[in-house]
Amino acid sequence: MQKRIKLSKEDRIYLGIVYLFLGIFTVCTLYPLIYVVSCSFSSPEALVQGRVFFLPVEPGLQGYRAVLNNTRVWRGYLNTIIYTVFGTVLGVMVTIIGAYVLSRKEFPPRKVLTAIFMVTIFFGGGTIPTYLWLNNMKMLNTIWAIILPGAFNVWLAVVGRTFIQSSIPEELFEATSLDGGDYIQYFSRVVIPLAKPILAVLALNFALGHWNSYYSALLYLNDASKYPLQIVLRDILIQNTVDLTNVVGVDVNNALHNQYLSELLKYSLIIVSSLPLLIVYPFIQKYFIKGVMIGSVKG
Amino acid sequence: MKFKKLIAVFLAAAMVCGTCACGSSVEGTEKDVDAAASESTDTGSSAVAGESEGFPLAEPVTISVFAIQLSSVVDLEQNTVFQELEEYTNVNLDLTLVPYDGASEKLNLMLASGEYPDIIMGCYLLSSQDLEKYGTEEQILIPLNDLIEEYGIHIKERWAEHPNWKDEMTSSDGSIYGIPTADSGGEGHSDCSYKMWINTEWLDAVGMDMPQTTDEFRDVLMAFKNDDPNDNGIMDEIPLTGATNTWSADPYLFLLNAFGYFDTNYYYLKDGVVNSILDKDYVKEGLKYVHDLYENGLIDPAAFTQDESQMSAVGNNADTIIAGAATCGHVGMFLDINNSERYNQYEIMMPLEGTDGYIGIPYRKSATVNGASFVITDKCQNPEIAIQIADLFCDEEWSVRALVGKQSDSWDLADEGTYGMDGVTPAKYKYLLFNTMVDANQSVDKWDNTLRLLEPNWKNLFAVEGDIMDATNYEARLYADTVKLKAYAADADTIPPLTYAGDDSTTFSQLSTAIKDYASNAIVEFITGTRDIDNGWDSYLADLNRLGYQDMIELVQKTYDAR
Amino acid sequence: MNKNPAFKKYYRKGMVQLYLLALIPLTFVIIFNYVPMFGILLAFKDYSIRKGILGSSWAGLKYFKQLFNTPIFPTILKNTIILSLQSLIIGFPFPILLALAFNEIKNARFKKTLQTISFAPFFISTVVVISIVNQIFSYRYGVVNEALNLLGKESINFIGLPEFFRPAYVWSGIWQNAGYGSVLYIAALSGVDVSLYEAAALDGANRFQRVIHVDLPCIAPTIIISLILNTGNILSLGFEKVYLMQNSVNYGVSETIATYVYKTGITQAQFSFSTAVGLFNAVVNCIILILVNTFADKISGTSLF
Repeated sequence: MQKRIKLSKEDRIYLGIVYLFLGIFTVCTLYPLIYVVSCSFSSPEALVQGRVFFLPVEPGLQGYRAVLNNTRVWRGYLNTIIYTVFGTVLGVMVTIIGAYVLSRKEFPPRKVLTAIFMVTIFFGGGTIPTYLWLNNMKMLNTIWAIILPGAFNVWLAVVGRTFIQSSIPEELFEATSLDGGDYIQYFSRVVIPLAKPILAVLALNFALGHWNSYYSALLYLNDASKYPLQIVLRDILIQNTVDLTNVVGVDVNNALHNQYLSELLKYSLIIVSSLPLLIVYPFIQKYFIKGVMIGSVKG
Repeated sequence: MKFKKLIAVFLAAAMVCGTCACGSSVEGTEKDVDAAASESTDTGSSAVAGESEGFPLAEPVTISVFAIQLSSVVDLEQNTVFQELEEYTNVNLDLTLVPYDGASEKLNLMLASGEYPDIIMGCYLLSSQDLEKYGTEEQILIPLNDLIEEYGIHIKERWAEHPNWKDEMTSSDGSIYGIPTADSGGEGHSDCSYKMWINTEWLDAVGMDMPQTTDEFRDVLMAFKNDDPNDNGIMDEIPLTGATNTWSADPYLFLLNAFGYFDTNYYYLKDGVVNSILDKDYVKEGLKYVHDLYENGLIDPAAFTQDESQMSAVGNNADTIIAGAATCGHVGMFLDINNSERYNQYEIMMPLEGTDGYIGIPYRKSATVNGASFVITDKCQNPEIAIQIADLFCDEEWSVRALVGKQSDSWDLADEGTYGMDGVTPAKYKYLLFNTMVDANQSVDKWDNTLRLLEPNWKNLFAVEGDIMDATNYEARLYADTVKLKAYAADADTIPPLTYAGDDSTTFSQLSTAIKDYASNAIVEFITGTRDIDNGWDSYLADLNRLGYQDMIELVQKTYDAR
Repeated sequence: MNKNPAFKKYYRKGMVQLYLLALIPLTFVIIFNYVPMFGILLAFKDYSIRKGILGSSWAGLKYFKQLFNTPIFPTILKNTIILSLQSLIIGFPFPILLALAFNEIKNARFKKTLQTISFAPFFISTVVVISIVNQIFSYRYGVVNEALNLLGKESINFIGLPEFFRPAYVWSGIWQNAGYGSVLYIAALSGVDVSLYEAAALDGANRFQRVIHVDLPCIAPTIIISLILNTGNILSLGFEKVYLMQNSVNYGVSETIATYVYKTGITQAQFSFSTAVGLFNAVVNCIILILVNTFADKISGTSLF
C-alpha cells in the first residue's frame, strides 16, 4: 500500500528547518574532524608552526608511520579488541536481563530492586576498596577485572526497562502465556527480537565504554602486555601537556623529544584508535531503522 | 602539589619487577651461610658472607621492581640498558611496569593494598610527604642509612660534593627512606629559569642596544612595534610574547623581578626569615610597569593564556619573523633550534634594572634534592643488593650509558684539549651522534628518564665542539647563558625542601592552591587593566588576607624553623 | 487487565523464573558494588595501610570539615553546580533534536552517513578537543578570528576572556556528545508504531504536528528517565576537561571541586579525604535525583521507581 503524502507548505517549511539544522550541525562537526584528519597527514613542522587550518600541509605519512612502528600500539589494539568484544557481550547479556526483570510490573521486588540498583550509581567504595577486593578475589591483572565490575550497567538497565515497557505491547505477553510460554520463553522469543534497537544501544554503549576506557585498566592491570590502546594513546598525549612550573631540572633533550613525539603522534593516534569503531558503526545502525518491529506486532 | 607536577615531567621508568609474589627468591647458598641475618629485612645490614659484595653476583637473585614505562622508550625488556644492567649485576629484575600517566595513583594503590614489589623506582615519583607517610609513619619503606653507609660508595661521593643533600634526604625521624634525582648533579641551566630571549637582528634594525633598564626595554619594545624591524611594510610585529602553564614562560615573571624578588612560590627565604611577596609595594610598582607595556600594545595579549605550542607557533612563524622577544625557561620552547638562521638571532637578555635601581633574578644557589626516585620496601629480601643497584646510578659510568647510549655509537672518549660546558673542565667524552632532528623512534640504547638518581655533573664532561650556537651544543649554550645570569642572582636563600607535619600538610596545600589561583588571576587582571592597580590594591590585599596568605607564610616559617 | 484464571495460576508458577533471572544482575551488583562499598568508611577514618580499613582509627567528620572549611569552598561548589547545570540544560535537547531530525531523512544512505559523522566527535579525546578549541579560537591563528578580520572586525582574545570558559566547556561538550547521545533516542524512535503515523496523516496532520503529537509522546518516557538519571550526576563533574581548560584568567569560574582536590595534591595518598569528597558528592547527587524524580513523577507519571 503506497501512500503518497503530499508535501504541504507547512511540511516544506518544517523540512527546511530540519535540514538547516542538520546542515549547521554537520558543518560544525565536520570541520574539526577534517582538521584532525588533516593534521594527521601533515608534517610535524607544519603542526608546530600552526600552519594547518583545513587541508593537510606538507602531506606525508610520518604521523602514521610513527604510530604503526610503535609496538605498544599494536598490542594495545589487540587487547582493546578482546576486552571490548567480551566486555560487550557480557555486559549486554547481564544488563538486558536486568532490564527485562525490572520491566515486569507484576514482579513484587521490582521497586526494591530498582532502589538497590540505583544506590550503586551514587555510592561506591572508591578505588581502594574495589582494588583491595579485586585483589582478594585474585582478579587483578586479569581480564576479569576489566569486564566484570561494569557488566551490569544500572543506567542502561533502567533505560532498557523504559524501552521495553513503552515499545513492546503487553498483549504479546498475554499471547505468549496463553500459548503456554513462560517468562524465559517470552524473553527469548519475543522481547529479545523486538528489543533489537535497545540491544544495539546497549552494545554500542558497552563497546564504546570498553574501547575508550583506560582508568580501570591502568589501576587493575600490571602487565604492560595487557594494557589497552587508550593507555598508550594517553601516555603519549599527556606527557607533553604538563605544567613545568615547579620543576627542579628540565632535561631539554627529553623535553624536546617528548614535544616532538606528542605533536607527531597525537592526531594519527586518534584516527588509528577510532577508525575501527567508526567502520563498525554503520553495521549496527540498521537496528535503529524504523519498521523492524511492525511485522511482528501485527503478525 | 609540586611533585605531582614534577612527576608529570619526568617519568623514570623504574625497573619494575613483576608483582608476582614480590619475589626475591634468595638462593640456597646465601640462606645457609647466614640464615638469620638474611631473613631480617629491617636492619638491612645482613652481611652476605661468602659472597662478594660487588657485581656480578655469584648466584642470580630475583628482585621485583615497580618502574615506569616511558612512551619514548621501547619496552624495558627490549631496552639494552636494562638488559646490560641485568647482565652486569646478575640480578633478575622482575618488572611491574606502569605508564607515566597515573603512575603515582597506581603506586599509592599498590602500597595501600599491601601488595607491592621490592623496589620502587621512578624519577620524582615520591615526594618528601610520601616518604614521611610510607616511611616514617607506615614503615613500608625501609631506612637506608646503614645500607648507604656500607654499600653506597658513589652516593657518599655525591654527598661529599653536595653536603646539603644528606640532610635533605633525611626524614623527620632521622632516617633516609629514598634516593632522589639530581639531574647531572643538579647543576645547569635550570638554576635560573626566568629568562628573556630577544632578537638581536631586530635590535640592529631599529638601531638600539641591548636594554639594561626597564625604561630602555620599553623603548626597545616600542621600536619593535613601530619601526618595522622585519622590514615587510606591515605592522605585524609582536614585541613581546610568552605562554602560560608551562616552564617559566609568563612574561611578568621576568619583568616583575626588575622591582624586587618575585617567584611563583609567593614567598622567599632570606637569612632564615620567610618573606612574603604578593603584598609588597614593589610588586605594585612592577605591575604598573607591565600594565603600561600592555596598554601600549607591547605585550602579546595572548601571552597570558596561550600554551607552549601556540607560543612556538609564533616563534616559528613561517616566512617572516614576528616576535621580538619571548620569555621561557629554555629557548627551544619558543623556537625550533634546528632552524639555525632563526635560532641564531635570539640571545639571552640580562635582567633589567628597575626604576628603584633594583636588579636581580632568582638564581638557585645550590642544588637541592627533594623526595625520592628509588625506594626499597619492607618486602625486599636483598636490600643490600638493591642499594648497590641504586648506587650504580649515582655514578658517571652508568649515567652516561643510560642517558647517552653506547660507546662508539652515541659517544666516545674525548679528544685532547677539548673542554666541557663550563669551558674549564677538560672533556672526557664527546658526542658522536647528537640527534637534534628529534625523532619519533623510541629509545633502544638509552632509557631516558627511566631511572636517574644522584648523578655527578657528567654533562659537563662532554666536549663542546664547534659553534656553541649549533643545535648540537644546545645544552651547552643554555648553560653558558645561564651562567651569565649568575652575576645578577637575587639576594635570597634557596628554600630547602620542607616536610609539613601531619595536618599542616593539608593546610599548606589548601592555602597554597587558593593563593596561587587568586594571585595568578589578580596579576593578569592588573596587567590587562581589568583591575585598576591603584584603586584595586587594597581590596586585593584584603582578599589575600582572607584567603590566608599570612597564615601560609607563617606556616612555612614554622616548618622551616622546626627542621 | 486480564484476570483470566489460567493466566493468574500461571503467573504465580512462573514467577520463580523472574527471581532466578533477577539473581544475575543482583549478584554482579552485590559483588562488585556493595562489597567494596564498605570502603565508604574511609571517609570517617584516618586510614593507615598497616591497619587496613577496618582497623584504622576513627576521624569523625574531620575530612569533611577540611573540605567545607576551605575558604574557596563556596566558589568551587558554585562553579561545579553551574557548569553541570549549564551542560545539562543546554546540552540535553541536542541529542533529541538530532534524533528527530535524522528521523525525517528518507534517503537511507544519507541518513547513515550523517549519523556516522555525528558520532565521530565522541572518539576524539578530551586533550585533542581542547587543543582544537584553542586552535580555532586562537588570537593569532584561529579560524574564528580570521573570519572576524575578513569582516573588518578586530581579533578577540577569546581564551583570555573568563566569560569564554563556560560556553566553551558546554558547547564543546555538546559537540562531543550530541551524536553519541542521539543514538538512544533514535532507538526509541524506531519503536514508534508506524500505524500511528498513518492515523495522524489521515487526521490531516503535517509532519511537524506528527512529530509533536506522535513521536515526542512515544519517546517521552525515555527522555524523562534519561533526564532524571543525568541530574543524578550534577556534582560528579569530570575533572580532566576542566583542568585542561583552566588558565590564570578563568580560575574564578573554572575551579571546581574535582580540580581543587586534585591540585591540592591531597588525593595522592590521602584516601580518606578523597573518599570524603566522593561521599559528599554522592549524597548531594542522590538528594537532587530524588527531588527531580518526585517532581517528574508528579508531572508526567514517569519516574524511576
